Amino acid sequence: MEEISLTINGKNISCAPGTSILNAALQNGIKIPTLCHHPNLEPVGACRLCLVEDEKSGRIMASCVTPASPNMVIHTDSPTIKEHRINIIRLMMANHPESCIVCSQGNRCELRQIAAELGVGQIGLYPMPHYTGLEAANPFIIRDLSKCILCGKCIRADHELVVVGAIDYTLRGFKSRPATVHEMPLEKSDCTFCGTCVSLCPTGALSLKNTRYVGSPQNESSTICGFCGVGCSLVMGSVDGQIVEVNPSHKQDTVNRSTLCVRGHFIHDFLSVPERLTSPLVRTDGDLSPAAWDEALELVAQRLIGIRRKNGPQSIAFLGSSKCSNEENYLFQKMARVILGTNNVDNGSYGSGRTITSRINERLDAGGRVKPLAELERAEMIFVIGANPAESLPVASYYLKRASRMNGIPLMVADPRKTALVPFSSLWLPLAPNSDYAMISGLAAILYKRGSYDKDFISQFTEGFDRYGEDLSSFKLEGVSRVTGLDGELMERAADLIEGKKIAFVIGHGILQQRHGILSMDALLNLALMTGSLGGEGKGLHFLTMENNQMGAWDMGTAPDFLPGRKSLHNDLIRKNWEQNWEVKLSPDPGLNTIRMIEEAEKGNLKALYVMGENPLRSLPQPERISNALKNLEFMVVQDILATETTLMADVVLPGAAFSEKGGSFTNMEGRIQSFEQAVAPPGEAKPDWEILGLLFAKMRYPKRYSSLDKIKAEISDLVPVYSALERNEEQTWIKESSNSRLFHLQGEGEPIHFSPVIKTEPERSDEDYPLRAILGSLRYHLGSGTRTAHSVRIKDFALKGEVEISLEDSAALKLKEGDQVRISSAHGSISREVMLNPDLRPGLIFIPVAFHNNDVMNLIELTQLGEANSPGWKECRVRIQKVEDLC
Amino acid sequence: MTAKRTILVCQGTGCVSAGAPQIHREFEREIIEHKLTDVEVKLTGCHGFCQIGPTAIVEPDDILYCRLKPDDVKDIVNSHLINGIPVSKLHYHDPTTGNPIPKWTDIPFYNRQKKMITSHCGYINPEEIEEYISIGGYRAARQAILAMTAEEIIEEVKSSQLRGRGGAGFLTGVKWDFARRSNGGAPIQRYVICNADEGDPGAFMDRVILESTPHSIIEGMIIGAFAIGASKGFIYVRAEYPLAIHRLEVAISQARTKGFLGSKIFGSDFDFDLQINQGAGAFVSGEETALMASIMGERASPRPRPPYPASEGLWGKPTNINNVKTYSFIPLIIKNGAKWFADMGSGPSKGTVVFSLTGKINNSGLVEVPMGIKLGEIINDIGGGIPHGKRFKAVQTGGPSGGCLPESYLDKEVTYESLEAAGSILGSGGMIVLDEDVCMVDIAKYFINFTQEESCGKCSPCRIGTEKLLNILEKIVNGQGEEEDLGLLEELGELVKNGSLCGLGQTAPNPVLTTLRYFKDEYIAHIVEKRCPAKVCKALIEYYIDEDTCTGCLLCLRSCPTNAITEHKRETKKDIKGKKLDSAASKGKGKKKKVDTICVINLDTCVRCGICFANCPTGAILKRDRPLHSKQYAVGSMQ
Repeated sequence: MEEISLTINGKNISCAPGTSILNAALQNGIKIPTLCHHPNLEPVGACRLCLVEDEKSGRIMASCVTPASPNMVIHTDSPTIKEHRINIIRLMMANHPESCIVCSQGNRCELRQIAAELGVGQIGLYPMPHYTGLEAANPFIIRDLSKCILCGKCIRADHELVVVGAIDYTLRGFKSRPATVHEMPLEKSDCTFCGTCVSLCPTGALSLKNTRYVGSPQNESSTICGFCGVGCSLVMGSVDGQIVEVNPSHKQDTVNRSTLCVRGHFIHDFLSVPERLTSPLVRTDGDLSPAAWDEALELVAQRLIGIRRKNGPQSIAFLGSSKCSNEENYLFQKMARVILGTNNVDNGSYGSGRTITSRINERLDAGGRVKPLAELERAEMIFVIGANPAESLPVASYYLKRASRMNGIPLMVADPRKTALVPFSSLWLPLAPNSDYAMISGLAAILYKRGSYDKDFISQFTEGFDRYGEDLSSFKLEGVSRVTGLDGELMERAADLIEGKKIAFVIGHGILQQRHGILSMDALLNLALMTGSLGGEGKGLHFLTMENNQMGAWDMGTAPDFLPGRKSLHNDLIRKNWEQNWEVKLSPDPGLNTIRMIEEAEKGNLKALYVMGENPLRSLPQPERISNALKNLEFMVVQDILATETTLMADVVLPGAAFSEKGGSFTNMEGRIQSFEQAVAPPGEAKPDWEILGLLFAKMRYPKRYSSLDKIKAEISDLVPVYSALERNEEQTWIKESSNSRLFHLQGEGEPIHFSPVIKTEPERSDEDYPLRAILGSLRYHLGSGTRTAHSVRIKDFALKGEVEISLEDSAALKLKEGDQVRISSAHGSISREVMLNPDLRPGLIFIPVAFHNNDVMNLIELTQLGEANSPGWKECRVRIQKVEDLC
Repeated sequence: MTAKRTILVCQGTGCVSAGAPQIHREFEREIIEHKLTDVEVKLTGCHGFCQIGPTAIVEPDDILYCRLKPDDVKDIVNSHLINGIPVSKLHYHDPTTGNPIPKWTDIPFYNRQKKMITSHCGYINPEEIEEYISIGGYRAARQAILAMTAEEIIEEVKSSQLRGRGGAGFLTGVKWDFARRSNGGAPIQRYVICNADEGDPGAFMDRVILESTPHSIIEGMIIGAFAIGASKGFIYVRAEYPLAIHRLEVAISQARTKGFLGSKIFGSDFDFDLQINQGAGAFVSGEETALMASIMGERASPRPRPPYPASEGLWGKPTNINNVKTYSFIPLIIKNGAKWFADMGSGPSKGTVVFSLTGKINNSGLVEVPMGIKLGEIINDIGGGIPHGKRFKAVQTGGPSGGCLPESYLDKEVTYESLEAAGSILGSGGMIVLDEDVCMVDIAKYFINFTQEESCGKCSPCRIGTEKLLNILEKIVNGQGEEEDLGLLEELGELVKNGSLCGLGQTAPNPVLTTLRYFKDEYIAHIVEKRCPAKVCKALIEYYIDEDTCTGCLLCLRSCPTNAITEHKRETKKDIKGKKLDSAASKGKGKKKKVDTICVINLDTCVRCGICFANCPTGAILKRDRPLHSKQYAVGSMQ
């Protein structure tokens, strides 16, 4: 469309049709004051500070909500406008309490800034404050609505960005204000404490409840959140080297678009707890005592080299971290492979179903990995399977909710539980646990029978459809209903919703950690191929990754069977290539994954373990078994930021630095590589992990020196084509896909993608001793096993109990009421919990949140391989519940 | 006994609350009792003169009976219906001459009006579609749908120059054209809405039409919907109008039965149906964007325009919103042609306009007059002037956010333009007459208090500005005003007017700004002299008892809530206008009053509530300016 030209303050400018006068002015460097405008929110025209005057019509209008029209002659600072603007500020200030001196917003207060710009010192009006009382009972947000200027940013953020609906306007006239339903306290409302409102509030009406510090930060630094795989851009405020405040970045191209979740916003207070490791520790006479860096590193180098010499490279293993940076993961696996000659290297993302994603990676040859979340808002339909992102990756859930609520995109949710996404969905498939594969194949069979599949796509990019079709035509839908518990009508409705559309799949731990994860993923990929839902915008597979650098750790080769760039170790060509890169002979022997490491330690075959940024004693099933296995080791090094269950068993503890205390890059679930800088110095003598690894390389006499991050980045971008963009020192870039699948190949050359056979399975047999099925899952207040989040003072203050959720039917049958103490037992162990009744839960299912009570829920499941045949998975187990009183 | 007669018993809200249903029952009973087979009793809607209700008109004699009590029915039946002699005591009596006027057609209140959209109000039964059809109802809709194209209808409405009667006065035909042509005229869902959320204090134009001729609105909406291509309509009525809602429900269901609503209307391919939405109880719901939000189940809060409803209205679809009166004009324009309409009125303000005339006026009620009529004609001729010989002071037009115009405007024409030029608005048609007993500062305070409480609170000039205006006015009426306050009122008033988001805020300061413009001397009296010329503002007056007129009846003493009135012995026994007053005062009590007693108000404990003033049977309690020293005390206590 043609540009519109108009005059603002005598300057001729042009802008796209539909641009507001305010944006047209801003784009041309003309500043118009405003308190209610925000680029990520719908304009509302509430504060009226952006009033401007059109010389031609004489009209006075709010520039944020008035589109520029041709030939307007706008004045943003005419005497009338100035007078009105000053009077608005005078009114707002007369309506504002005189508490600026003690207000934590300080000079960041936008009302104060604009008043200063307009020269409003004395307001000359009788004060008309509007006292409302302070709400500060929860540990996250303080609300002092007497300071509210009703810009509506909090309400719009709540409705438009995070789509929760916890607050809205209440009352009329002078008394109007934002409020929860019935003005209940936030903790009794639907508020998720994402804090987006706090960071958008222009005054001190909403502020962060700070546990240690009141006032404005001295420094603010941009960084990337260290919790989940979304990788939100943060601004961390610090005072005297301590992080005191976290806010979302207000840059335009971030994944989080001015939002955050409760973890990202409030739980970074764990960074300053006394349990942080501040100096190297070495076990002498059975106790860990502080040691000098040189001494500790020398000991590590000597012992590892010694054990290798004595027991061979297979006796040493490296357990890396999906929380550490790409650079650190690269060095870590390189140390294992190049110096110690072992492929026994893995990282914590094993527990997040890496084996299962790996399978897809193989079938697509690593294609389709760049999947921006923003594409979800442009999808034809979204299918969420085994995922509850509202709790696990809240910022990803905002995309889904926005897609459904704002853009009307059909959303289908398959989950045994009625998750927070269900109210946003067009259809909920409440299937039995572990039956996803049957449901997915069932949908494929219905579509096949209707003849509704993408024939062009299939013939162009795939192979084996005929065989697959045969499987589908003999597939019994009655069997699907028996296994999944979904009746035929519901399945037909689900097929109706999918039919003729390209699907964007959102896949979570419900698939990645489950018993039939591989079967489900295979079936899902078949469905994606059949509907042509791969390779392009708004379709494909979005994997919800639990930890911030799960993708990067894997890409860097911190995995037993992959070399950097996700290339198979067992491919001779690739191995040879890396031998050249690294100028070393690489071991072709398969490495141990996390579980095998434990098993080999149990057998006494594994002698040394180097753990970086993981806490297997808390995060893996059967902690007692892990503990016994680790006791068998001759030598264990643990590099971490916090004193954990695992550091207590180490022979050497190396204090690392948290993401805020170092530079590096993380790769998020979308395939976005985000670089970050140090915000504050590490505590005490702690060092960035890459630096520790660099020092160890030197101690082990490796010729190349890793003395700076840039050197590591340069090596990665040189050697790993997927990360060739890393070196450019930009804040964010994207991985470069290189797939041999012709679907993802630019020139359309390469291999077809194969359909996999349809597997039929019978319903799982019930177990009389353990009649209930427990689903283990996250709550948004903790991440993963909770090693870090449980240290948060705010989370401790919030005093969540991690109750077991039980359906009304089961609680009635078991004579349980809310608050009863129960013992939950599985074939592997038992735990105690309080009971919470959940009317949305279906009978036969219970839900136990992970991470609470030192993550003792891991006692209920068995330490088994994920994604192997007959593996029971880590997501669900069979249990029985007894009231504690009855047991006494 | 003469020819067949019809008795029209008004069943508008005003008459109903004054006892009309019982009057109706009495007529029915009496007529059966006297076996008057040639008399029909008919329920009708309101014919506008609510002040004199309950009313009944005997046709074809045109005799109007007013302020009826159930016992009066017997007299009417015996005297008028049986013996043909109208009952003169029940006639309307001219307020100035006191002479009875038997025929309604001779009453100035009626015969000075030009009834168009209200011409059938009060003459047909609103709950019988057949009656509406019998006066030509739904013929315009049939003609529009079967014999006209949408473009022709829009052209007709355009050339009639009909402007929205909701207040803003936008050309209806142009608005329809926008709604029809938005989205490139694509065949998408479009909506029509009738705004019947009449919330102005003292305004009841829309209610009367809704209650009296609901079908005219439905017909207008059918034509509008056909013209813009809408298949669904909403009538948004305030929930406080239960009778109007009931009559609309009846009318809609009858229209559906007749096939005027629903699918294939009049056998054409046009489908259209209506739904009633009850208002959410906020004045601001009448603002069109707030109204749409309310229909969509959201808080009734205005949003900025553009986008205008014609391009993005309900659920983002093109929507046309008109007021009750605007839709009512449509069938008449289609039936009589655009020229007929455009020939009435003055300048760009065409046709007639409906006012609800209230306040200090002899004939309060609903009046329909041609655009361009003089204000004075409405007030003095139709309204019958000010009661009790008081002086006219001001007239407030256009609802709570209209302006107050002084006497000098009485010879000015009433049009959209003239009222706006005077600082007021035509609004939706409220007209409140104020007499000399009204304090203009107090009246400005009253209206700004209303708009402040009804502001949605979204934009800051309206939310805080109106509160500040109110604070300043309160200060002034309390005798604490400062001279700078006048400038501040004007400055803030301009800000609220120019800077607010929606029509509510943009007009809210009108009462303040116009009273400042036309009655500045009253403000100055309050601020400088600490005096309320109309003796209304409590802080500036005190009550005293006139010894000469006080009869010592003690009614004031007994009713005083603070025991500020005491009884004293009259020092010199005067021959007060004694006898008459004395007997009048003692009549109720049945015992002789002590004329040697008088009452005295203790000014220290008097809170100036005015109860004694209202209760005194002899008018002995009077108001005077409060001496300056006691007011200064009040100022001091504020610091």
